[in-house]
Amino acid sequence: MLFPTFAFAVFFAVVMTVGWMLHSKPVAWKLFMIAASYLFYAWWNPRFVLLIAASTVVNTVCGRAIQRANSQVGAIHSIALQQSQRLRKAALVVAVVFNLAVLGVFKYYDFFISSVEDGLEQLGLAPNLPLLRVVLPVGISFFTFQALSYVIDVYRGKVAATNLLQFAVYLAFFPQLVAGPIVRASEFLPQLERRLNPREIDFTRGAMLIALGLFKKVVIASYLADALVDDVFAFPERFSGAEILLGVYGYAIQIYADFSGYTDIAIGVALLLGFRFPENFNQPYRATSIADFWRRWHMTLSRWLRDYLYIPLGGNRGGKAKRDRNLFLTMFLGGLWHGAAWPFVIWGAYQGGGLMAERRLGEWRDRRRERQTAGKTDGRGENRSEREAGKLGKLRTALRWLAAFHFICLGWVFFRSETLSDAGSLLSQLFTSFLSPAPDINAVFVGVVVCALFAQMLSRQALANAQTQLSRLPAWVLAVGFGIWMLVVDQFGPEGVAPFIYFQF
Amino acid sequence: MATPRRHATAAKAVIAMLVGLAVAALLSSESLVGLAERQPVGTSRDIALSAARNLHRASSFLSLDRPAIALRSALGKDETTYDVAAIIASNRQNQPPATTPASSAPPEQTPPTSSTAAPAPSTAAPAPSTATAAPPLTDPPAARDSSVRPIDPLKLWVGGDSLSLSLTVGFGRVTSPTLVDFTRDTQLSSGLTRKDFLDWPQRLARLLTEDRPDVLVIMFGGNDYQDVIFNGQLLERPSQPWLDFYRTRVAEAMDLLNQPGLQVIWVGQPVMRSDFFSTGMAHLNEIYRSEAATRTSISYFDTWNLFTDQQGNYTDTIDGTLMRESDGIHLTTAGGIRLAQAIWNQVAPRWGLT
Repeated sequence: MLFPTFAFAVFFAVVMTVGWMLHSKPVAWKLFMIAASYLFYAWWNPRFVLLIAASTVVNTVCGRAIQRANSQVGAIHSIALQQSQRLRKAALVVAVVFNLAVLGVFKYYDFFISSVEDGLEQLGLAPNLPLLRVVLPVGISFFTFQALSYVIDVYRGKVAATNLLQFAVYLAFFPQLVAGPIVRASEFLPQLERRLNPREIDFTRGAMLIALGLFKKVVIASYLADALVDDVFAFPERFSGAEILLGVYGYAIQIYADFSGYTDIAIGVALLLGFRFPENFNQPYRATSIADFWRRWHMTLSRWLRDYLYIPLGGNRGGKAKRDRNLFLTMFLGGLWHGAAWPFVIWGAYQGGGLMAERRLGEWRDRRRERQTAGKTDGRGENRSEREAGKLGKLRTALRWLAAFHFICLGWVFFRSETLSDAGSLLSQLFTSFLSPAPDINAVFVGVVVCALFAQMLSRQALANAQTQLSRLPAWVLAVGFGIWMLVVDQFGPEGVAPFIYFQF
Repeated sequence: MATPRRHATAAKAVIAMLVGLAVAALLSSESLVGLAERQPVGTSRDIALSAARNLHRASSFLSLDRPAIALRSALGKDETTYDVAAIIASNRQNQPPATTPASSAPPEQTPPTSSTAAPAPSTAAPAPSTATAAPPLTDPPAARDSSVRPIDPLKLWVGGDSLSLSLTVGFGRVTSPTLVDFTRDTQLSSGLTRKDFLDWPQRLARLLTEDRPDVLVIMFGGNDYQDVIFNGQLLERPSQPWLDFYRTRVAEAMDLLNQPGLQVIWVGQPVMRSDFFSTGMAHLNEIYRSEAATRTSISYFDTWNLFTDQQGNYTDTIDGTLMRESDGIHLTTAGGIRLAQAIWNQVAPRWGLT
């Protein structure tokens, strides 16, 4: 079920109403929410429900086995201690292997086999290896990562194992089921265990997030895709360099509007059901470095990769070379998480390489600054006026922003292209026909891109203040305002809305 | 320190959300009717349509639909409705007398009436691969002189349902940007069966009137093989009444496009992974082929064998390249390029574009 549809509006109206009617009966509420979430998921394909149900059972059993073993780790008898340690590890391994196997079969098997086949063909062999050609279950990467974080956190003792009912709600909770944010068990289960408070609904923020998310997805993302972006990436040879550049900028805004729009709706819907989700975006295109971008873009995935991949690989420990390796591997695998295709692999490696280079450059700059500071003890450095320093600082920040933004945009070319050859064609056309006529550039498209970038620079406090002011209005005014906003979204948006980009991951 | 937001009680939040959705529904009631019409045929559609129509009546009575009408008008979304029947009548007058009205096509040309009695996909599929033995395409209209290019590029339009998406990408890549002025129009989930979902004849009438192309490549069928309610009667696929109904829909679209000076390539459906679906597509292809044969401007382009293996069966890959999506229905971009190239190889020489 897609968020911006009539079916979802009806579904949500029923779920919110019944959900709050059941809030004082936790078991009934959980059973209802599982049923509602499975219905939401089955809307795509009923068979997908079997997969998530299987994942729920396996991860619950493993989580509880780890918990039991955890509780025996304090045993004084060394044999009992060893046995519990072994059991603990075995349960973790089973859970991790199961989750990775699910991902591997549905998402990576065909890519791996095709790549092997291509490699063997290069060697003059013609193997006919079998492909599965299965349809990728929507949201599989998201709920698998949530399940992994749960069993690993239980193993680490950061979260207590929970029962089947609660874990089923956690894994299938429909607002975040298909495209995140990736909510940790440690963030969700405590909210599930306490009684829902029917007196503290952040209605204004929830409704505003839903309204804003729908606008981003239905109006902005759809317009940019239809107006230029889809065509530029489909057949770049038909466009001039300037049109392609604008198309790439447009895609940067499109993917942000699409994905952050989904996240806004998810967070808003969860708020209206009484749950708080972590933030997933924080004005990513105001980033002045690649590292800064990754602290602002798909934040729940970045945190996941940091805590369950980068740090276990060794993180910053063991010297710069190992740190760089860990950084690269993390981003490389992060790229592969997005999809089983070479452009994603290249995109991940590109981001990893960029982060490594940026960190090395920063270290080199720090060393140089230290040397300069040491050499300026005679006071000559203080001659420069503060005003000049401020101007230079602003210029430097602007240049850094420009560089970071274009680095990210170049990365999106690989991310959006179906094949490496497609990305190559687009880049080649971008650089070889820049001065050709560009009839497909129009003021509305440019205006949307510029306004969207400008919105990234606005103070978040202003938005928070607006929410506070709106929350003072009577509820009926907000309700009518929401209805009018929906009319605007409906009229400005196209007929029929494409699925969210991140559903494919 | 910032003032905290005021929170609502659950009861208030639920009521406010329901009121908000109700206001949205009243203000956008016409869109809701459209949404309900597009649902798959069945009880839920009937209920949704009845509710949406009543809501729209209430909205009109209260003049609550006026903001939507005003906004649509301000955004320039009001579209002229064209008289499809008048265009068809005009086309018929301009055609040589040999042109047969499609609806009078002989019934013996239709495939068997039930899926069990239907021919096997490979045998039902007409004509061998166009890659090797393409059917002859209609001569280009006399009105166009290929010597006028490149000042006046060939106007090519490609469109249809979701299967046409990769075909449009293929055409975008295989045709020259300077010699071919290319437009595409893919409408997902659409087809000829359900005018309530999307009225393709109306859309094509607008195209022919407002921005007529020289060559039109069109592909339908993937969404058409579904039960339908027509004149209050449920027609089940692939019964004879359903096939007759679909033939009239194809005939209407072809009659509309059958204009002097326009070259229309009606692209057939490729073999599908599912036997059931393949059989259905074979039925549709037979209708496209036989109807196109009776119209001078329209050529049927067979795609069946373009996507089969050497034994004539469905295959995902050809020469190591993935041609079909994992659903076993849609074409990959490579598949779209293969199909576009095969069609273009037939079209281009007639316009002096080789």
